[in-house]
Amino acid sequence: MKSGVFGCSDCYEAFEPVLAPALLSMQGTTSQHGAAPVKNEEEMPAPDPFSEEEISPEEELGILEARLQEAVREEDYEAAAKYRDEIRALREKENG
Amino acid sequence: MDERWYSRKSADDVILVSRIRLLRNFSDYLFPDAMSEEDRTEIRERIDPLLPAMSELLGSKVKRLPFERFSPEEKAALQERQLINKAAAAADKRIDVCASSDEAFSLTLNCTEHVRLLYSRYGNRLSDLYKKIRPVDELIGRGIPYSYSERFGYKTSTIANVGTGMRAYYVMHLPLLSGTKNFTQMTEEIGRYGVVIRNAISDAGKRSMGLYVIYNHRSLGITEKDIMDILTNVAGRLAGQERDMRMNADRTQLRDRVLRSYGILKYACRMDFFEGVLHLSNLLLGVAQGILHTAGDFSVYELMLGSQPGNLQVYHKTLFDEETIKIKRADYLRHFLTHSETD
Repeated sequence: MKSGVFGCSDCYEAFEPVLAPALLSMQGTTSQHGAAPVKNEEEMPAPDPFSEEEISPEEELGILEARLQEAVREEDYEAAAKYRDEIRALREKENG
Repeated sequence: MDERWYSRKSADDVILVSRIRLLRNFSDYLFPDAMSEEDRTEIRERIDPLLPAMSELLGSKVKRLPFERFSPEEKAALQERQLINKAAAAADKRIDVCASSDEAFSLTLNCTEHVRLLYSRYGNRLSDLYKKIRPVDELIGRGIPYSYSERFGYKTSTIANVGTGMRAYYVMHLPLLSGTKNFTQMTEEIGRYGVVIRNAISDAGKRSMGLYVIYNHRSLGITEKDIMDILTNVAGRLAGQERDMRMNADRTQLRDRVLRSYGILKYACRMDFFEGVLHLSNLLLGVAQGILHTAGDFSVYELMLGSQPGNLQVYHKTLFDEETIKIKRADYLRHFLTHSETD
C-alpha cells in the first residue's frame, strides 16, 4: 500500500488495526450499512429469515446472540449494542 | 443513435441534473494500482459479453469506446461531458470506457477502481437513477465477484469511498441564492448534514457561475437510500429558497440581467469559456422565468457542455490555439441564439 491507495481485496483486513481511526475521522463510522452484492445462487432471491412467520423466538434469539458475539469479536460495538437491545426486547416479550 | 440525454430542455429549473456514481472492485484481481496488463485485458474481455444485457437494462445501446485510440482532446471532451473523470482522461495505463449512446450511462474500467459506474439525467430523480443503475451493478457482480465484506462493504482503492461506494450528485442552478450574503453560512450548515457543496464550474478567481454541485461526503455506515434522502432534502430546501427569490425578484432587474447576457452571447465575436458560462447561466434563468423562449429544442446546459475547449475542437475535428477557440465558441453560441426569442 502506498499513499493510502489499496492494492488488493485483502488490504482492508490486513490493515484493519490502523484503519479504524482513519475511517472514523473520514467517515464517522467503521462499518458498512448499505446494500450487499447479489450472488449467482441468489438469482432467485433467498427468503429473508426474519420475514417468515415460521421462525421460532428461540431460533431468532439464537441468531441474534450469534450476531452479537460476531459483532463483539469484530469490535463493532455499535452493532453489538443494537443486537443486545434486540435480544433484551425479545426476552422481555417472551417473559411478559 | 439515441438522442443524448442533455440535448433536450431540462424539466426542472433549479435542480438541473441528478447523477449517481458507484465504485466497485473485483475480489479475484489486484486493485488497479497494482494490477498487471494481463489482468486489465482479462477484465475487459469478461465485461464485453455483458454489454448487450446492460443495453437492455438501460434502454440505450452500450458500447465499448475505442478509448486507447482517442486523442487528448477527445478524452478531454468526454471529461467535459462528465462521462469520465479527470483521472481517466489523464490515465497513462490502459483503461477502458463503455458508454450508452444516449450518454446517460458510462462504465470506466481499471482506472482508480476496477469499475466506475455513472448515470445522469435531468431533474430531481436520484431514486429513479438508482433503480436503473443497481441492476447493472448486480449484473456485473454476478459475472465477476466483487470485493466486498460485511464489515467494510464494497472495498474501494481508498477509504474515502468504501462502504456503499456510492456518491449521489445534484447539479443545481442557484444564480440568485448564491448572490446573497447568507449563502456562505448556508453552505456551512449544509456541511453538517454530511453534504458537500462546490462550484460546478468556477474560474481561477473562484467567481461563481451560479451552478453548484452537491454530493454526499460519507459512503460508509449509511444506506444508499439514506444518502439519497439526505441529499434530496438538502436540494429541496436550497431549491425552495432559490424559487422564492425568483418569485420576489424585481422583474425589470431580472429581465435586464437576462437580456444583457442574451445580447452579449448573440453578438459577441470571441468568448472566454467562463464568461460564456456566466451568460448562459443568466440565459437559463431567463428560460426558467419565461423571459426568454428558445425556439429550437436545444438546451442551455448542452451549450455549456459544448462550449468547452475539448468539445469545440472535437466538433471541428481541428486543434485550435486559444484565441481561435474563443472565436469558435462565440460562433457556436451565436448559431444557437439566432433561433431564440425574447418576450
